[in-house]
Amino acid sequence: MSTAALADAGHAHAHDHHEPSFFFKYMWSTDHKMIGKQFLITGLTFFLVGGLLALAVRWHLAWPHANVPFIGEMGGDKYNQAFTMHASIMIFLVIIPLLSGAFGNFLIPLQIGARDMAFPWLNAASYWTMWPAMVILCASFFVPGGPAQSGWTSYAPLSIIATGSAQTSNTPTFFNGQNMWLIGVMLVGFSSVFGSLNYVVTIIKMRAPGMTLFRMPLTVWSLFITAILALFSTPVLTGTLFMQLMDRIAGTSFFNPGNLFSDLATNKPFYSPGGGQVLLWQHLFWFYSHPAVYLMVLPAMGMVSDILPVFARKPIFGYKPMVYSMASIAGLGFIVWAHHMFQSGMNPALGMTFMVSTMFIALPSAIKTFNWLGTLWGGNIQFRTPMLFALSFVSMFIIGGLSGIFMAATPVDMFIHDTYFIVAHIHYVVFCGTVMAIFGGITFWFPKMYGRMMNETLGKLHWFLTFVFMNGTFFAMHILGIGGHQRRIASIELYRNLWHMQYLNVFITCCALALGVSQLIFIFNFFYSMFAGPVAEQNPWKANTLEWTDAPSPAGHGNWPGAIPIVHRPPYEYSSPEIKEDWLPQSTSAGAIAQVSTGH
Amino acid sequence: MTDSGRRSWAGRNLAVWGLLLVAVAALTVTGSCRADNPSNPETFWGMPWLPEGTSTYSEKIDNLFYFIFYLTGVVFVITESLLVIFVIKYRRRDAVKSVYTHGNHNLELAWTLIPAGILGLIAILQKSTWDEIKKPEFFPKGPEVVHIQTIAKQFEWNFRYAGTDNKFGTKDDVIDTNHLVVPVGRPIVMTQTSMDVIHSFFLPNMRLKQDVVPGMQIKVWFQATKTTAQMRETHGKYVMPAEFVTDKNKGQVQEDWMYEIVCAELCGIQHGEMRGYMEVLEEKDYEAWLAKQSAGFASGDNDPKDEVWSHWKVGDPDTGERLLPKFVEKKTVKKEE
Repeated sequence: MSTAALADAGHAHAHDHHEPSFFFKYMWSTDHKMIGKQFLITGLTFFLVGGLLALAVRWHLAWPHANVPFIGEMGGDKYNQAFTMHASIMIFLVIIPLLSGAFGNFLIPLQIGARDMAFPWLNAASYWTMWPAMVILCASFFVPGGPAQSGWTSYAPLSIIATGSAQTSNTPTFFNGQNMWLIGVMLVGFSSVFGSLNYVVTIIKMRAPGMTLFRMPLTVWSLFITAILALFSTPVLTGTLFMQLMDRIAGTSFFNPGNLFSDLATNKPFYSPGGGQVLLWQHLFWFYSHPAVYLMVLPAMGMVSDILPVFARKPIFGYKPMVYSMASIAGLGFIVWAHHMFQSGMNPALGMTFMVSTMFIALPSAIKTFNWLGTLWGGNIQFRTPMLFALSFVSMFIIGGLSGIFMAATPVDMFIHDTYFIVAHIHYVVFCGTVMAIFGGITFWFPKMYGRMMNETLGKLHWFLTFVFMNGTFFAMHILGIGGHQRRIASIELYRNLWHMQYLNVFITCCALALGVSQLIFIFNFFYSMFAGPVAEQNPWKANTLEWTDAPSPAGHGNWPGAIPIVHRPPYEYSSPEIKEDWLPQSTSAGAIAQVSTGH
Repeated sequence: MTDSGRRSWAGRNLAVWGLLLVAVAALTVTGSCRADNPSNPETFWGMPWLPEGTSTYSEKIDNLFYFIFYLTGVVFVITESLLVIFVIKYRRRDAVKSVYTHGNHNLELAWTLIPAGILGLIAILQKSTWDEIKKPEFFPKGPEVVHIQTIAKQFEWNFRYAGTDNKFGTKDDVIDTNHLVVPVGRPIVMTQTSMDVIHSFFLPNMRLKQDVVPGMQIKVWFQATKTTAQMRETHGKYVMPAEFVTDKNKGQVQEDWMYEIVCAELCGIQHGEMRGYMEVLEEKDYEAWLAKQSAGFASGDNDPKDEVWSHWKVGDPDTGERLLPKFVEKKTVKKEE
C-alpha cells in the first residue's frame, strides 16, 4: 500500500510537465499502455503473415499440382518451410506477444490501480527485444536455403542435419534458416521473461489500497499465473535452443548419437563426436512448450471470465474455484510434457505416468467451463460483439478440450499421434479458443485504448463469418485424423489409403480461404474505428473494474486523473441487491452507496 | 429486484431438466451405429472413419476410442445444449436483474469429483492395453514369432528377414525396401532403427505406431488377422482423386487395396513420399516367398544393400531387451572391482 502511495507522490512530483517528443511518446515509450498497443499492432501484423503462410500450406494440400499464388511451385522443402514458419510465427510472434505483451501490458496496471509497471524501462526493453527477433525470423526467408523447415518443434536430428546445417555441403554459412530460427526464438524468450518479471512484481507490489489478491479481476489473475509459468519454463527453452545451436555450429553432440547419414547431395556421414541422446531434445523442448500452450490459453480464459459477467450482468460463478483452477492448470502443466512423446521411444512406463497427469489436467479446464456456464445461468445477457466472442470461446474450448482426452489415452494416441486429429485439437484451442478471446478482448478494451468504439455491425459480421468458417476449416480435420491422415505431408498423392478423403482437404482449404478473407472486415473495423469511430464515453459497457470506472477513455498519462482509486469490493458485483443499478464499481465505497440509497 | 417468478422455477426443476438432458444426450450419441454401413465399416454418419482394424489388439484400441467418443459425445451434447439454452433463455429483458449469486459450493464439489472419477476410470482402463502393446517384456515370444529388422532412412523403409537359416547376419538374409511381407496369424516382432533422422512406423489397420529413432533400437509387435487378399474382397479399389490425375497417370486411376506403411514423423523434404506397403500372406505363401528370396540372396543374385545394412548395430532380437544408448548401459557391479 505504501509503495503505491510513494510511487504516486514521486510521480506527482516529477510531472511539471514536458510533453514527450514523438520519439519518446510513440517509439521508446515507457508507458505501459503504449507498449501494450505496440505489441498489439506488431502481433496483429504477424497474424496476417502467419495466416498467409497457412493459406499457402492449405492451397498446396488441396491442389498439389497447381501453383500456389505468389509462391509458385511448392516443392517438399518449401512446403516444410511454410508450415514450420506458420507455426513458429503464430506461436512466438503472435499469440504469446498478444496475450502477455499486448493485454498484459495494457491491462495490469489499469485493473489493479497502478500508474504504470514496476519497471517501465524493462517494459520498453521487452517490446524492443521482439524487433530483432521479428527481423531475424523474417530475414530467414531470404537467406540461401530458406527459412527453418524442421517443424516449429525442430526435432533433432532433423533440425541439426537438415538443409541449412553448417556442416552439410549446401549453405555453409552461419546465417541459415535454422540458426536464425534458433536465435529469433531465443530473443522472443528474453522478451517474454522481461515482461513476465515486470508483471509479477507489479501485481505483488503495486496494487491500489483495498485491492486484495482476491479482489483482482480474473484477467489479472490469469496474467499473473501466466507470468509465473513463463518465468519458470522459458529459461529451459533458451538453454535448449542454445544447445541445438551448438550442435549445429560448434561440433557438440547433445542430441546427436553419432554416425548419422544425411547429406543428400553427397551421402557423406555427418561428423559429430556422437554419444548424444536424440530424445533429450524432445524432453527439454516439451518441458517448455507444454507450459507454453498454457501461456497461450490462460490469459484468454481470464479475459473471457471478465467479459462474461459484464454482459450477463452477473457475478462470475465461483471466483475462487476459477483462481484455483488456473493455478492448477499452471502447476499440472509442468508434469504433463511427455504426452507429446508417447510414441517417441521413451520408456513405456513413462507413458502411464504422463497419461495420468494429462487426464487430470483436463479437470481444471472442465471446472472453468462449468463455472462459465454457471455465470450465464440466470443472467441478463446482452449480445454485444465482445460477448459473442466470449461465448464462442466457451463453446469452442469445450470441443478442443474434449478432443484432448482422446490423445491423453495412450493406446488411442498410438493411432492419432501425428495425424490431423492433433492439428484439429491445436487449432480448436488456439484459433477457435484463444483467437476468439483476443478478438473479444480487443473489441472490449478498444474504447479504453483508443477512445472510440469499434463498429458493432461490422464486429458482429466478422464474428459470424469467422465462427462459421473456422468450424468448417478445423472440424473436418478431426475426420481426417481419424481416417489416418498424417501431419506435415505436402500431399496425399502417394497414400492410397487417404485418397477417399482428399475432398475434405479441398473443403478445408476453401473454408480456410473464406476465413482469411473474413478477417479483412476486422482489419478495416480496427483501423477505421481508431480514427473515425464514435467517441467512447468513459464506461460504455457499465463495467465495475477500475479501468472503466476511474480512468478516462482513452486512459491518459498516469492512468488516474486524481489520486489512485481505493477499492472497496470484488470486481463482479453486477445485479447487486444493494443498489438500484445492475452494476456496482469496485471503487464505490459503502458510504457512497448509503448516500445514493437514502436519495431514493 | 430479482424477478423471482421467472427465475426460481428453473432452480427447483434443475434436477428434472438435468436428467432429461442427460437422457437425450445419451440417446443421441449412442443411438448412432458404430458402423452405420455394415458392408463398409469405415464410415460413420456418411463421413470417412477409422480404417478397419485387423490386428489382434486393434479391437481393444477401438473399444477405448469408442468409449471416449461416446463419453465425450454425451458431455459435448450436454454442455453445448446448456450453453445454447442459457443464451436463449436468459437473454436481456429490460428492468430485470440477474440472479445475484457468487457460486454454489455443492455444485463445485459435484463437477469436480464426478469428472475426476471418470477421468481416473479412463486412466485405469487402458493400462493393460498399453503395457501389452508397448512393453517388450510382454511381447509374444517363442518359435512362431517372426523377427524382422528395420532401418528407416530418408526416404525409404528397409527391412531384413533372417532367411531360411533363421539367423540374422548370414548370407541368406532377405533384404527388401518399402515392401514388408508377413504371414497372417503369427506375431511379428520388429526391431527398428534409423540411419539419419526420426521417422515413425505407422500401420493404420494394425493400429501400430512407433517412432523410429537413430541411436536406439526399438521393438514393436503386431499380429495381422486378415490377409491382403481377404481385405481386397471387402474393400473396393482405391480411386485417385481428380486433383492428382495428370496426363501421365490417367491410366492408373484405380489401384488394388493394400496395407500401407506410413511415415508419421517429419523426416525431411520427401516425408510425404516415404510410403511403403505391407503384404499379409497365408502362412504357406509367406514360407514360399521367404524361401525363394532367401535362395536368391544366398546365391548372390540379389543386392544385399550393404550400404544400408552395414549400419546395423548389435542387439539381440530374441532377448526382448530394449537397446539403450551407450552411456546408460546397465552395469553389473563385480565384487573384484
